[in-house]
Amino acid sequence: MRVADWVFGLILLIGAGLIFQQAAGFADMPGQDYGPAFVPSLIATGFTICGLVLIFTGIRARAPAFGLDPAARAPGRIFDALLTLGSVVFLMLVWDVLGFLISSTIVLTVLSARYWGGKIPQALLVGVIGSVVIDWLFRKLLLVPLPLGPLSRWMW
Amino acid sequence: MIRRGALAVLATTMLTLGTLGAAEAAYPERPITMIVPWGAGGGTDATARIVASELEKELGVPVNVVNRTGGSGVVGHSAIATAQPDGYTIGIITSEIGIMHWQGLTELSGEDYTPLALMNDDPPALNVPADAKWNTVGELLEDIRNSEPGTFKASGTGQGGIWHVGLGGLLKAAGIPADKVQWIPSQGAAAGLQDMLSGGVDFAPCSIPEAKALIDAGRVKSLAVMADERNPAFPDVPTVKEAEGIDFSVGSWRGFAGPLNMDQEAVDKLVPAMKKIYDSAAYQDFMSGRGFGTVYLPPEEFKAFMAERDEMFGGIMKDIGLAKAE
Amino acid sequence: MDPILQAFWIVIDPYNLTVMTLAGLFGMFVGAMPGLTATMATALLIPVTFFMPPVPAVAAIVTATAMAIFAGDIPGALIRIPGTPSSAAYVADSYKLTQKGQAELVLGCCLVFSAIGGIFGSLALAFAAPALAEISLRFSSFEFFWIAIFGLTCAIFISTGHPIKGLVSVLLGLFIATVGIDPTAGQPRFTMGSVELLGGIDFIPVMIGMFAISELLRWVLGTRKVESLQTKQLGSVFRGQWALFLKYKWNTLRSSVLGVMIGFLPGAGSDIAAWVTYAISKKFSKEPEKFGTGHIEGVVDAGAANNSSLSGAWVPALVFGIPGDSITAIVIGVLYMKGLNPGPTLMLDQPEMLYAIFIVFMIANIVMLPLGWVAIKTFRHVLKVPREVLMPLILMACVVGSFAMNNTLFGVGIMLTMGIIAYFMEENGFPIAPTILGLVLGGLVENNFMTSMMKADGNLLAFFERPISAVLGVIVIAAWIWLIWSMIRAKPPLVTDEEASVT
Repeated sequence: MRVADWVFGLILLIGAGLIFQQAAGFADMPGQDYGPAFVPSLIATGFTICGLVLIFTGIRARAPAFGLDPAARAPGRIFDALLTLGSVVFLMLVWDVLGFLISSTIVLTVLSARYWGGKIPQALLVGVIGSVVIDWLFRKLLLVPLPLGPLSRWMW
Repeated sequence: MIRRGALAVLATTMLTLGTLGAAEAAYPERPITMIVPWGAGGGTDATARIVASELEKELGVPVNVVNRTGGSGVVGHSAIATAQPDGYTIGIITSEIGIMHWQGLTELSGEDYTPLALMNDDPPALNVPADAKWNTVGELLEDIRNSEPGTFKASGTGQGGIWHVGLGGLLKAAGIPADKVQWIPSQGAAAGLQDMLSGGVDFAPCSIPEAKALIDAGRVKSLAVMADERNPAFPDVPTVKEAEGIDFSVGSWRGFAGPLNMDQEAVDKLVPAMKKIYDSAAYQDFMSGRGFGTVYLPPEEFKAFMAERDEMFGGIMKDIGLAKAE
Repeated sequence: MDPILQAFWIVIDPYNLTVMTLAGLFGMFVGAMPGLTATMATALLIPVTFFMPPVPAVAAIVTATAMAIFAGDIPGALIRIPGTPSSAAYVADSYKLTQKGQAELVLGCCLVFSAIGGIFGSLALAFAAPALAEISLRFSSFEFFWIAIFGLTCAIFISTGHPIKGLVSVLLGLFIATVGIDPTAGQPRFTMGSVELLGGIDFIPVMIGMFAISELLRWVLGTRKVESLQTKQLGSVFRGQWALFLKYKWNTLRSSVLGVMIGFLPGAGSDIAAWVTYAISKKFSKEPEKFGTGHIEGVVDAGAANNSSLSGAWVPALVFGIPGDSITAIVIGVLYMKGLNPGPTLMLDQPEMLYAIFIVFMIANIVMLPLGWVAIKTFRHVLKVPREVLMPLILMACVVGSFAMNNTLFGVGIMLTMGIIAYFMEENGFPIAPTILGLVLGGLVENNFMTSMMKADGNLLAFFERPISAVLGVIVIAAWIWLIWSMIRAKPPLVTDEEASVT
């Protein structure tokens, strides 16, 4: 998605303002010229300068604030993007409740079914095999503490 | 949507089944997680891992070591304190638990844990470059006493780290204002020693094992150790009491604990297991191999020990100007 | 018996060689997984090395890390997701070469030049360790400050497109680096009361998010046409590498030397080595305009440097027990555990052990060639997997990789957020590599500036008072003057033709 430079400039200015406001509340270091607020303030100054340049040049370029690439205008593309991002959020929500194996199987199946245009049996196969392999590699081989959820009663 | 709803029902059923089952079986019936608030490969991590591998043998279930680093230890210590108190999450806690809350970084203190065992305590030594003019701790303290505040600079850990507070305590005990030496924060003892040798700071208080390689290389000398007894591996380094008559000892300690109000059945299993591990040859050999000091305290005394250190650190930190909370 | 010969027998023991092969395969897998770094490979090996004799324990770590640094190039080249931060510097080039159908050439190049850099580093370690370690002890915060600033300057060299947009990207990285407890004063910054943010933002989930999630989004929103070029079989892994070596022999030497030097400086590791050499390569190249568009030269340079820096980091670790990077910080613990206490006593008491470690380094880098060949041949098939299947699996691997960094979902949240930000940045001409560099170097710049100022009581001239520091300072300032001068003369347009045509 195209966003005009002046929009970025505006975001940078707002961000710089927030950083300045936060940095003003940082404690000074007794007896020191430079405290914890020094570097963040420098960064915010940089953001301000860049923001102003982007606003100036962006307005001259006369681009619309937002624009969508032709490919992204195809039906379902935006939904797919939101589904992809949403599946990560879903994983985070159910991570400890369902455990990795179950939630990963759901996400893998749904996503590959959707991308693949509804080949559900194949997608389920990807989901199950993919999840089991990832779980084995990370939890067993690399000792990453992936949660088992309700399955922890039966397997470890 | 329907699929998600169905799954939620399934999950709830499974969870209920799981809980019912748990009430009947004896602890432990599934793997235990051991949280380490410091990075892999450090001394705390190594201690946790050796204890975890012994604990596996004692309890017959896997004990998974999980590093939760960051925020000067706050992140990992919080993770231990806020875990389910079912006995399946325990952790290794370190001296920083008596420091962080004074700095206003967290509300947590030693009171927020179910103590299991204190297993280790390492006192700091005062290390100076081998070619420094000071040969005894008395000469160094005398120079500090006669200097302008901030003339002497020291390093060895972060701002408010254990060696920083320890140095403040030593100066205080010697009757010198605790903030007379300026502390230069560093990422650990190795970085502090490096800074000292490159001429960045004057001396570095840190534990003897941390400075061992440089002492062996003839680059660093230890003037004195802030402990009640000498380190058996370095019998030539006196204690500050022997050298200057300053009765002060401090240390970076490590102990095991779980969240507050932990399941009693689990505590009754874990406490004797910890004692047994402490007495084991595997643990003792490992610790002496690394040059770490071994101390054991059972839960009640460990708790009192934490409270005592906590109070001492609070007093020192007010003097250095680090304490933000009362 | 002669200690060198003795060392040789220790190393070629079948048990040791088996351990090295297995560790190599393990390192290969860890490096190829997004989010799992060479440091993590080392940490994961610790429990295993508990039960090994000293030399196999060290050999396992050396082989696994060398292999992991190379293997990080594989997903970078194939799907534009660097496996380790050390591959992030040149991922744009290696991926575009794959798109041109040269997957084998670029991966072979990564492999061969990784091995060359690694062997060079091993030789430096074996022959110059004491002298180099001596130099490393002369570096204090003043010198490190200049090194870090020089690293940041590299961000300007590597960023493509308009300098203002590159600058925004660097500043974003620097800002992310300030989140958490301020290391000098203990002041919590931008944490919004969250304990997780108090711990700071780790750059692994940021890197995964910015490279992988943004790429996923681009694919989902894009045309999703099959790029048939990618699956075309083009030559063998090693063909053409000799010609590359002849063409770029001075580049290889320069980058290997630089890699060792960055490696032995405490605190700077293979990731910084890769960025710096890539930037220098671009600056001194005859064809700098080709960098970032699928040009092999930067891959040669940075690929050699990140492996040579690995051995460099062992120099201060073995001689003084001071870690040269995050890997050797872990290694020192292992050395103590195995009774190989770092320091000059190691040379006096157990010279055969020290020689054995040197030989292990050489063999690890040689073993890398056949193992790497197998890996390239295996992973190449990833390109044949339909994207519809591959993309969800990559997403899941990224989630798990971000989780594994600190074993918390917080990393996954960071990955997601940065992925969305990076998507918008890239779509609008903001380069993302400088953000990663800013994040890597941000803490280094600030810490060394602040501690230097504490030591010097706020006197900025102190940065020029120590001899090494003064020389470094003059070099950095000269580089900046030159940069600004050439920028004023060049004046590229802010809106490129390509961008203007779309809107």
